[in-house]
Amino acid sequence: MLLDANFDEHKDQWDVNLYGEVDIYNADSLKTELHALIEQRKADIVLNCTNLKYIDSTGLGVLVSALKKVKEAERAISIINLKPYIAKIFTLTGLDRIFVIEVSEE
Amino acid sequence: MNGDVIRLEFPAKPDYILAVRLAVSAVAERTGFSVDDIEDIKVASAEACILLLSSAPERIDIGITVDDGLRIDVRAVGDISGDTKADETSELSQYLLEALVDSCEMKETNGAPVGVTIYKKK
Repeated sequence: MLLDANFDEHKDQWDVNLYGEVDIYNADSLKTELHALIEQRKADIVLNCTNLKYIDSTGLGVLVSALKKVKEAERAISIINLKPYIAKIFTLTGLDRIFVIEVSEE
Repeated sequence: MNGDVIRLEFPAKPDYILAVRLAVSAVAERTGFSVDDIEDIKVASAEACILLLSSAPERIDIGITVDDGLRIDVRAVGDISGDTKADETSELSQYLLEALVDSCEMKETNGAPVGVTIYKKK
């Protein structure tokens, strides 16, 4: 399982938990699941990365494509509880400037 | 371990990139790299493989040479399509490769990436 998702009616946002290692092998599945959520309901997405252990460039590409879709509806994606070594990946690629990012304390 | 060379061959399929990450991390761990450096080497090696997969080779060969650091030579083997498109993901791979290791050299044939050599000092 790569993710689970719940819609928070009160906050009008998707609360999504990411799990494990997102890489070139499973990035397409993540894309399908995220895009399905956005189709179902166009709202802000909060990606909780407490249980995300690794993400590669193809996984980052999926998040960027999801952001593009969300932005069409003038919504945003926040990425929370990133482990510092994964946050570094976002910084090095400049993606920390297009997502709202919150790093966990370790 | 100085002078040791470890060679790995993988079918060029996304299925095996996890195995590449595990193998490279294990060698980096045994050669005394810090936890942060092991993570950098793991990410860079996987990104090198991802770049080469875009050339649709048959196999990916990896040579790891142990000296005062680690030199990792990743090669695409087999018929190279030469019609790769430089997409957003390739750009992200290149940013990561250039930022995470001490040196990174890429080789292309007809615009298709066919080799990446990275070096990380201890």
